[in-house]
Amino acid sequence: MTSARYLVVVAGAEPATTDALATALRDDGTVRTAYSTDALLESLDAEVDVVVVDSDLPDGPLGPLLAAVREHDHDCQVGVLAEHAAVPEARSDDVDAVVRRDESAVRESVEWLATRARYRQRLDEYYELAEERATLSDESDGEERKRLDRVERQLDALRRDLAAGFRRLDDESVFDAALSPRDRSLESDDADDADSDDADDAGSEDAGSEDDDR
Amino acid sequence: MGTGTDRASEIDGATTVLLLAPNVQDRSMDACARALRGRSGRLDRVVAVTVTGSAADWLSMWDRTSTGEPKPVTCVDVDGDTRSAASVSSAPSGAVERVSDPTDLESLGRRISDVVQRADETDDRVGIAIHSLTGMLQHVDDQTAFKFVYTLGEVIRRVEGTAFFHLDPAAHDQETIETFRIVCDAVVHADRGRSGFHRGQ
Repeated sequence: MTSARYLVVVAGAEPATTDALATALRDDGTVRTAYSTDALLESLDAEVDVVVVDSDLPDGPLGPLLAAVREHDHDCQVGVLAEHAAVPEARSDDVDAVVRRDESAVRESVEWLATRARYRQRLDEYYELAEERATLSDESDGEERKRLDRVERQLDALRRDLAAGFRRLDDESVFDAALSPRDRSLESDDADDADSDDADDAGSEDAGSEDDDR
Repeated sequence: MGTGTDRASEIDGATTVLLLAPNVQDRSMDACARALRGRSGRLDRVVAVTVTGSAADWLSMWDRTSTGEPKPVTCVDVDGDTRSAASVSSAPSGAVERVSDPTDLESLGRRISDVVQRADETDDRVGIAIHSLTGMLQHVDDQTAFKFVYTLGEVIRRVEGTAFFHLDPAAHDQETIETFRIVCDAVVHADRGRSGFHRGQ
């Protein structure tokens, strides 16, 4: 699980600083950069594992932007670059980690967030595959037997991958990674407040860039 | 009826066991207790996660059926506001911790993990009974419960403990039972006296 490259979006209002962080992260993953809230939201898709947002990115409060990231319905882990350990204007469910503006701290946190993201994804895959396996008979033959064997091999591979990811997570964070927030796709009142007016306070129109070496 | 010592010994290498027993009167709770006692080797502490029934019921049953020196018990009681606090305070023995929201499996998992970690720090070998997965599935969907079972199982594996997840086979369709069988190392049919490994063990 941990050897797989991850896709991270790094978003900050200061291009030079954002680019420097992106460069540091490219040793381990694929990086997209965004210098505005618009560019950040446009860069999100189902492939993104981790989003790192500088708390200085929006002109206004950070909370609506983070809620908008969650509202995109792509299950990713969110880290916030900030001077302090807490981001008071954000809902706790919208922030998975608060990270110091320090290159090594960011690399370490992104690695940890990516492991959590992959653990969540693999658990979902495990359930879907177990559901499929549950419909297959041990006594099957022919094409169904081949399907059974394929599913069993996939289950074994997933178990190995999940076990490797679990070993890199502590007991406190592993339940959080697996189960929280309980349903990120549910719209909340706070998320509803995060309309485009709140999120569109971009300082620039710089398009995000992506290093496609994934 | 129930998982006797000999049959339980067949799955001694398993960390997570799906325990199939009917939820009639005390039979499912009794099956959990038998499974824990049937576990051979050292077992220093029992953790009962009470979703169906109360912590007081569990502790009372555990004391009543103990032979010899009873193992220390910690109950993690998932109340869901359906039972009174008085029922817990009247528990005859054992520590009781409370989780109030049965849909919040993240908090439940962390609470169980805390109990297990404290036991591990004193080098206690832990056996856990989730009584029951059937009760849990009245509050969360199958996928959420599945992820909880897997993650808790890995926490227990890390401390070399054993976890029994009780499921009432009459309350679920065959595919649901099979799905949870897949996420556990082994299955015990308490009524049929049949047990065994899977998952390539």
